[in-house]
Amino acid sequence: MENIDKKLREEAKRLLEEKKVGVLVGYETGTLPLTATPCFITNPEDAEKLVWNAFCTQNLAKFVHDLISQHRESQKRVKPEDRKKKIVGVVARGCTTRSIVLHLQERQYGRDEVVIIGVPCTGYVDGKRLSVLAGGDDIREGSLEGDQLLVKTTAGEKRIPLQDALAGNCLTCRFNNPVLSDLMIGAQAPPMKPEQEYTEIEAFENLPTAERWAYFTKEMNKCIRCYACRQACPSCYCNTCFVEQSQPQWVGLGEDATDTQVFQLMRLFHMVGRCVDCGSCVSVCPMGVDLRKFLKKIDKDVFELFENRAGSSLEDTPPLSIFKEHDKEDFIFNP
Amino acid sequence: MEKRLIKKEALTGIIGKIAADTTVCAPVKVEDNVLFKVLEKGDEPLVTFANSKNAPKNFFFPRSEVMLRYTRTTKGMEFSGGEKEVGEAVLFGVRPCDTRSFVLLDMLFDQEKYKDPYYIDKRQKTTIVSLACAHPPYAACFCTSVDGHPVSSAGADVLLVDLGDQYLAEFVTAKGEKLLKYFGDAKADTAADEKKEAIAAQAEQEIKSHIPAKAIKPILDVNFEHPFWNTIYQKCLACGTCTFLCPTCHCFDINDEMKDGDGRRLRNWDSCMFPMFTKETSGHNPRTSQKERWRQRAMHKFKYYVDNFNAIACVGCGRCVKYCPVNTDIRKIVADISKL
Amino acid sequence: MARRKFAALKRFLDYIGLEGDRTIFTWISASEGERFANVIKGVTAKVRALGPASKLVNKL
Repeated sequence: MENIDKKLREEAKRLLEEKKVGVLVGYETGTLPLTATPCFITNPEDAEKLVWNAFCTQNLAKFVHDLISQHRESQKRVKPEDRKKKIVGVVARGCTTRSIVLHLQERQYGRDEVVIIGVPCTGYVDGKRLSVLAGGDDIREGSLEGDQLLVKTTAGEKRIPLQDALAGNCLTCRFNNPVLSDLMIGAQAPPMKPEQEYTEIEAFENLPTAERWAYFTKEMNKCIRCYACRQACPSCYCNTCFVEQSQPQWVGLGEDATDTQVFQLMRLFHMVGRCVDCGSCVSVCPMGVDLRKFLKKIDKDVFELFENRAGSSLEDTPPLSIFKEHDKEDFIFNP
Repeated sequence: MEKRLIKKEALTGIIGKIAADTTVCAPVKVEDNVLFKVLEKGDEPLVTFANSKNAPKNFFFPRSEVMLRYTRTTKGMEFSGGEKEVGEAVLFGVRPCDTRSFVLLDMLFDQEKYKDPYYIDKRQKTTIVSLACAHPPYAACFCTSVDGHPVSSAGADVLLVDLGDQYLAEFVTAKGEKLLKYFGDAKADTAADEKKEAIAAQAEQEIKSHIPAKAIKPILDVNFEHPFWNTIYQKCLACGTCTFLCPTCHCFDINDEMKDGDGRRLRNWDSCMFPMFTKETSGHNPRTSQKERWRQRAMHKFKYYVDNFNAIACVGCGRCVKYCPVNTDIRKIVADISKL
Repeated sequence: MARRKFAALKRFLDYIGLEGDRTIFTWISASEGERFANVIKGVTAKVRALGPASKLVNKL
C-alpha cells in the first residue's frame, strides 16, 4: 500500500503542478483510528496528505458532481467568453468510476471536466461492522497488519481478520477495478466474489410476503431522517429532493412511520439503473439501516430485465431512457 | 443530601421496580445500537454501556411533536391540544454530559422571556437518574473542556457512581429523593465519599481530548468573514447526523399537515446543516453554501449561545465526532479556530 | 419506457412486501371503450378481494 500512496502522491502533485486539474479529490487519514476522510487538494505540496487504503469508504464521485455543478452555477454571471472550465481530479476505485460513468451518461458534465486517477480496490472496512466485531467498545488505536486488523479497545487488544470487517457490497463486488480512468496507479486488484452477489437477495425473495414487509418496516423504523444516505449518494443529485418540496408536499416531515417508508421507498426506486452498489449510503447511515437489502434487489432486477449494470460501460444508455421491442411484459393486466 | 449504597447486581432490579410504577426511559440494546427508549415489556435496561447513540433530549424535545390539532366544522375551525397528557417519568442511566445538556436546554426553553410549555411540562414531570462515567467511554469524550465532568451531577436528580463493588446513589434534588424508597436503606459513609472523589479524579485524568473551547469566543467575535471558513466545509455532506445525534442542538421547524378537513401542527427537528434550513418563502436562501451553514453551527455553539446564556452549547459527548460520516471533527475545528 | 418502469416497480413493491395486485398496468387506446370497462371491472374486483390498504397509509 505504501508504494501506492507514494505513486498516488507523485501523480497528484504532477497533475496539480501542470495545472491539468484545478482541484483534486482524494482521501486523507482521519482523526479517529482506522478511518480515512475525503480531502480536497489545490496546492501541489498538499498532495503528501493523500492515502489509499482499506479505510477509504466514501464514493468521491459525489464531490466531483458537487464541485462541477457549483462551479457552473458560479459561472452563470460571467460573460460567456470569460467563462472558465473547472477540471476536477479524483481518486477513483471501481464503484467511483461507475458513478462517474453514470454522471457522464446522464450528461451531468463532460468527460474533459474530470481526470480520473484509477486505483485498484480490495474492499473497504465497514466502520459499523468493525465496531461490532470489536465488541462495541470504543476503538482507541488500530492498525492494519497484513490481512489482520489490530484493534485496541477499552476492553483490551483484539485481532480481527480484515476480511470479516469488509463492507457487504465489497465482498461480492464485480467491478473492484476502475471501468474508466485516465491513469492507473498500482496493479489490477484480484477479483472479489461476484458470483455470490445476489445470494442474500434470493434468500429474501423467498420469504413470505408478511416477513418481507415486517423486515422493511423494521429497518425503516430505525431511520431518523437525517438524509445522510441521500447526501452521500452520487446518484442523488436532484436540485430539490421531492422530500423538500412543499407545493405540493409529497411526504410528511414528522415521525409517522409511513412517511419515512415513503421517503425511503421513493429514493430507493429512484435508483433503478442508477445504483452502483458503492455502499456509501449504508456506510454513512448513523442508525445502521439495511438499505442494501433493497438497493441490490433493484440492481438484480435491472440486470435480469434490461441486461444493464449501472455505470459499467460508457457505451450503455441509461436503461429507463430506452426500450426494446421484446422487453418483458408478462405483468401487463389483460382481463 | 441523602446518600445510599446499593449492591451492583441490585440495580437492574431497582429499575424494574421503578418501571412497574412509572414510565422509565433507559438505554437498551436494539440490534447493534444502544438507544435511549421507553422501557417496554421484555426490554432489558443496560447498566454497563458506553453511551447511547441517540441523545436523551428526544424525551423532552421529540423529533416530531404535535402542537395542536384542528378540524373544519360548519361553525368554523375548531382547535384542540396536541399530544395527550404526559405523565411522570424517570430517565435512567443518563451520562453526565447528556444530563448537562438539559441544563443548557433549560436556558433556552425555560427562560425569562419565553417559556416553552411543551418542553417544560415533560421536563418538570421527569426525574433524571444519571450514571457517572467512572471510565469515560470514548477517546472522543471532551466534557472537561466545556465545563462538564465525567462524575458531575449537574442537571441530575439522582447521581449513581460505580464504586467498583457497589453503587453510590446521591439524591441531589427533592425530586430525586422521591425515588429513595426504591434504593434500600444502606446509608453511605464517608469512606464512600472518599472513594467517589478518587474515582472522579481518576476519571478526569482519563479524558485525553482537550480543546480550547472557552478560548475561541473572542476569536469568533471578530472573524465572521475569515477565510478559515472556506477550508472546513467542502467534505460536509449536509446531512443531519451531527445535529440529530447532538444532545444540545435544538433547532426546529413548524409545519402543518392536512387531510380533508382535519389538520395538525407539527414541530419537527430541523438542522442548520440542511440547505432548506434558511430557505425563505421567496425562494431566496441567505446561507448559500455549506460554508455559511458550518459557520453557523460553530458560531451558535461557541459564540451565540455564550452571548445569550453565557454557556457553550456543547457538552463534549463526542457523538458528532464519532458518527460524522466524513469525519468532520469539531475538536479539530475548535483547535484550528483558536490559532486564527 | 413506461413499460420498463412498471416492470421494475411491480417487482420492487412485491419484494418489500406490498401486495402485487395493488399495482396494475395495462395499455388501453382511446377508442377501446369496452376494453376500458373490462379493465376497470377487473381492477376493482382485484382490489376488493384484497380489502382496504393498510400499508403506507398515513394517519394524521
